[in-house]
Amino acid sequence: MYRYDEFDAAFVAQRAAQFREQVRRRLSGALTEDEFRPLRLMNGVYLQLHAYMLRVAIPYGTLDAEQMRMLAHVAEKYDRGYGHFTTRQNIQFNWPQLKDIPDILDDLAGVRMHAIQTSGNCIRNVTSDPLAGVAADEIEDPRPTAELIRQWSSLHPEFTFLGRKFKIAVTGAENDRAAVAVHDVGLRIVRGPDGEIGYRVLVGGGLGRTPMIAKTLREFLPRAHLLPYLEATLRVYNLLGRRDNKYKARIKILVHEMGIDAFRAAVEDEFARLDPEASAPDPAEVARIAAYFAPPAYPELPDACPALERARRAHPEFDAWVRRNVHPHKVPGHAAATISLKPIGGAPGDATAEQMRLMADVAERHSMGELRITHEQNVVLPHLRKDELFQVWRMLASQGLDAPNRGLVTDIIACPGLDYCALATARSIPVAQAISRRFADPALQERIGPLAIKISGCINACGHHHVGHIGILGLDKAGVESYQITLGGDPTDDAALGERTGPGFAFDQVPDVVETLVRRYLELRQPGETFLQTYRRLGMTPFKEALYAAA
Amino acid sequence: MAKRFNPVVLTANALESGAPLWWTGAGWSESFADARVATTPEQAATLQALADTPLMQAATVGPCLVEVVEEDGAWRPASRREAIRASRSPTFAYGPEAASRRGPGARAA
Repeated sequence: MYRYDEFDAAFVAQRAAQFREQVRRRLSGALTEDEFRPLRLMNGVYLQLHAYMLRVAIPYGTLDAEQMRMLAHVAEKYDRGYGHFTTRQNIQFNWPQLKDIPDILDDLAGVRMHAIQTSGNCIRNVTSDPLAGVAADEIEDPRPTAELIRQWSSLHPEFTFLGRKFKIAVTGAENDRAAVAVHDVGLRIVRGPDGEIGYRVLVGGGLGRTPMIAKTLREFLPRAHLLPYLEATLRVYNLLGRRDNKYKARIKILVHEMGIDAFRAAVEDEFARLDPEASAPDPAEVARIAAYFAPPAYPELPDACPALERARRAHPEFDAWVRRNVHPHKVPGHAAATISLKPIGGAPGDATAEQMRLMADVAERHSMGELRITHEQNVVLPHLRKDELFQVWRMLASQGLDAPNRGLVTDIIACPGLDYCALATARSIPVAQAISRRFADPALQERIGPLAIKISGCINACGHHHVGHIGILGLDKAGVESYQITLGGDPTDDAALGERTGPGFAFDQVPDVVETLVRRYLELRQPGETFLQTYRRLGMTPFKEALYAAA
Repeated sequence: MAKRFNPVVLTANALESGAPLWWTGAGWSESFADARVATTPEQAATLQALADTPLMQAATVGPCLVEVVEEDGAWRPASRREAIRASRSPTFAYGPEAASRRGPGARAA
């Protein structure tokens, strides 16, 4: 894992000290809310319905046991004993007092954490593959690239006041687990014509009220040109992107209005004006960063693990968890595992302080002290020995962290929605809870197979509903919550936006709607076909008929 | 046609905690039940003027009027959003309490 040097530590400490003074001035009345708002947003502080909310950055979703314990400490000391892991691999605390936030930031700085780049019109916290560095299908670990971008972007004077927020995701694997196609810039680590490693650069993806799948900006970018090329891309956006209307200010609108060819030409022109060699990072610095992500010292183990197989045969519930939540690892005898934060009837992504401490303990004892947060609001233990998986599962089960549902119908993404969020138009967590209870039976979930339900409580789409196999968007229709359904969305390699089924449904109807769709799928599917595959084969008609036939 | 007047209350969020507040006529309360209801446009204008004062803007966050309706002899917020604010909590059990209700083992309902 990356360790802060003196510069990083001083920068974070300085920002915390600045914010302490800004909070003091706000509480004394020296700053108005209009003056204070941009300052608090630069430090991840929002105001929601019931309280302030603090969003803490977890760069590319990677954290260590000590940092997870600090999150537990913050939850317990300053909040209400829990936190909410988000679709951007961050964590949000829903109840901090403004006067306490400087102390929270000091505590976080003590373990190299902060709330920088979690809000405002800047380059946001870079996201990545939660299986980075361990996935069997990986070309290269994307985290050194993500960390390089973090260092480049945090203090870049040209890009601290963009027209709108700017999200970058990086994946280094053949299978995209970072949803790069729905980011402002998505980077895929690929091999070039001569086998050298570089990037495919995507641009102009995003969700929100105008969802778009990113387009290819550069098919292959040599590794050394990454930062100059990003600089050229950001500069074109900064110069030409709209600032007259915040809803049209994201780069996706610029790319859409210019057309990808004209946008590409503008970027390439700008890139040609730069001297890539002069603005590229020092290779020694790149190597220094990469060294922090060197694989840990794995013990040499045979890949076959009779102890694991015996435990699977003896404990069907453990076997189900291994089938759903355990991932192949590039090192023989090892595995990575998803800790589902989606217990039946739970709030997706929520974890209590006690659960955070347990996850830290498990990581320390079994996963070389490391954890990852996923954009699906779960946690990953990346470095497990296969022969210790049963012990890991037992520990997780003691705190209700053993749901064997990764990627299944109850592994629902949901934004905080109207229960917390000042922007929301409808509730989303209670909808997720009701669907989760409806499909509680693990055997039924397995029979249904992979099915991603994603719920947003407003058109800003923090719940990624556009790319849910079943997407659910909560709106307010004349004072009543109404839920639009979309089908066929997908954030992965064949990224697609969901298609609307038709008129919306009432809050109480949503579990029935999902059940109707699932029943139709089970009737129509061919052997081995997933919900998404069935939808892609047959299209909207049979599902629409099932939903609206009785109306 | 002029918009029909609906009764309103003055609400804001507390500067220090961010908690929802309602204006009682004499000060702020954390209970919606204490809110002073403006039942005429004139009373609403008075509350709005109060909300616009620099002192009020400095002492709270986002003071504004929200509509209320009368039901069974009691006032309640007109919108679900304001009803959730007035309840001072999400509409579901959360945090450690929710986790302890579920107990260990996440597999069953």
